[in-house]
Amino acid sequence: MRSLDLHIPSRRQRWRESIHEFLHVLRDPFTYAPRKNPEVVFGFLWGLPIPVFAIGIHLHAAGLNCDLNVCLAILRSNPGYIVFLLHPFLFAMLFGALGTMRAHREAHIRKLLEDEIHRTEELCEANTRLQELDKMKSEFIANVTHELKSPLVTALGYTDRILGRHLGEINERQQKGLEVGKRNLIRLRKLIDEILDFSKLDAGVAKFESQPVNFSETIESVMENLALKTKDRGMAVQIELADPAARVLGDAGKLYQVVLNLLENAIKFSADGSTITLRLLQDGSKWHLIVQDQGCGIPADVLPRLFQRFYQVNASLNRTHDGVGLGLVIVSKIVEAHSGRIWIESEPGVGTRVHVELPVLQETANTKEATYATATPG
Amino acid sequence: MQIDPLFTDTRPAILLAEDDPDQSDMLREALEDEGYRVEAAFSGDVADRKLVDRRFDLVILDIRMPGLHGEAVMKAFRSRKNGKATPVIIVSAFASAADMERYQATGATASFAKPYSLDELLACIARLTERERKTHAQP
Repeated sequence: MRSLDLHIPSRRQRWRESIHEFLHVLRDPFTYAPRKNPEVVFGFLWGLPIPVFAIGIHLHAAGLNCDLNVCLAILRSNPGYIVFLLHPFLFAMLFGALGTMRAHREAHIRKLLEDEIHRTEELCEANTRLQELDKMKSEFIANVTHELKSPLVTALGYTDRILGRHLGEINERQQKGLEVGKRNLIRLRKLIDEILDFSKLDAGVAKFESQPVNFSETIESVMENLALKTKDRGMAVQIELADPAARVLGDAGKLYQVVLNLLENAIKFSADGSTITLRLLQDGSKWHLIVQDQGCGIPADVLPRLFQRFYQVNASLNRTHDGVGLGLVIVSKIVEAHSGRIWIESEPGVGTRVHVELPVLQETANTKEATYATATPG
Repeated sequence: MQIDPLFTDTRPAILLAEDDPDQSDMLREALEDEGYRVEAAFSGDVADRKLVDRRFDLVILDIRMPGLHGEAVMKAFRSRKNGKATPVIIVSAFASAADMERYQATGATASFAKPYSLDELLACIARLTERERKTHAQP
């Protein structure tokens, strides 16, 4: 943003400037039209009776009759008093100068105001342009990810067909190579999905359903999804639910993503054979979900940066842990949209605890009318 | 006299509207291996014309295509007398939950998000055309 460029003069400077201005405008008291500079007319009218007054005062001092007609007769008959006729013009000049100064000042203030308005308009315009750009960026990302998905279809399709022996026999080495290829294609698909999800949440175009969601069902389906991964690495996931019928109002798919992401993170950053604990407690009118691992932990100085886009604790970890660093951002955005709260406690070398708080669904006669939380994208 | 294969071919006919030639080829090959007759259309307009001219047992539609949009093709098809009962499968990368719901509401029998699992798609097609899937030697 451009700063306001206001020149504020000191009192002495102001005084000097006004004298200078006064002397300057004395030369052209009629610069401004009388409509804009009524002081000229005022000064002229003020100066008109002065010759008469002056003669009257002189006559009065001499102890003579100072009748208006006598004064006017003297003024008309005595050429020496003609000088007094200059008075109206002199006064018009003096007052006119003051008027010019006033007009100058007004014009200056008007200009400042106009500049200010102009600047505000410019800022508004720039802001609109930025918003448009941001929208374009989000649309661009959405479009690009869609385009990225299309080639994956063909690649995955043919890989599946070859692996399924639809296109003839293959040997073991070929099969192994194709399986690695397929695994990486699936990984790529996951990354694209992640970026697409994030861009939708970030642009605020993600649509959230608002229905009662059962926690234990969500956790169960996440566990099914992760069963292979945990088995491969000899990990155990301990689940403790305070209430097996715990429900929240929200989007089942998005909440699934939250639980999946948190558990995946816990698995990703833990050693083989360690235990991960998932607990659900009731805390007044909130459900309190805790995912605890015995992993590498997170240094205290980076904890606040975890919810920034594209941030991963250690850039070098990128090579061993796939992901673009959007998981937690997506999770936090979803939790926020459900009027919830997320925070992380961690001790390097000991483990990490992720807390999620979500409002308890108020069970009414008609659950659809539970109105405490209208899930809207952030 | 040569008889038009159209009259002698008893394989179920599938219209495949997909603008990406590689994807279209891949799916066509897979479907032909499964024993279907596949008509490929590379734009919405062509798909629409083919749907007017001929009878198909199943229609696979992409959403974003040159010419007519996949949804428009489906709407037009569903509004015609011969297009009420034929199953239509939508296959698209535009597949958020809301999109999927809209496709179902406009008359899609099933919808798949790209990148889809070929196996699932073929199973769905087999179910909709009421055919046993050819079993291949699995590794």
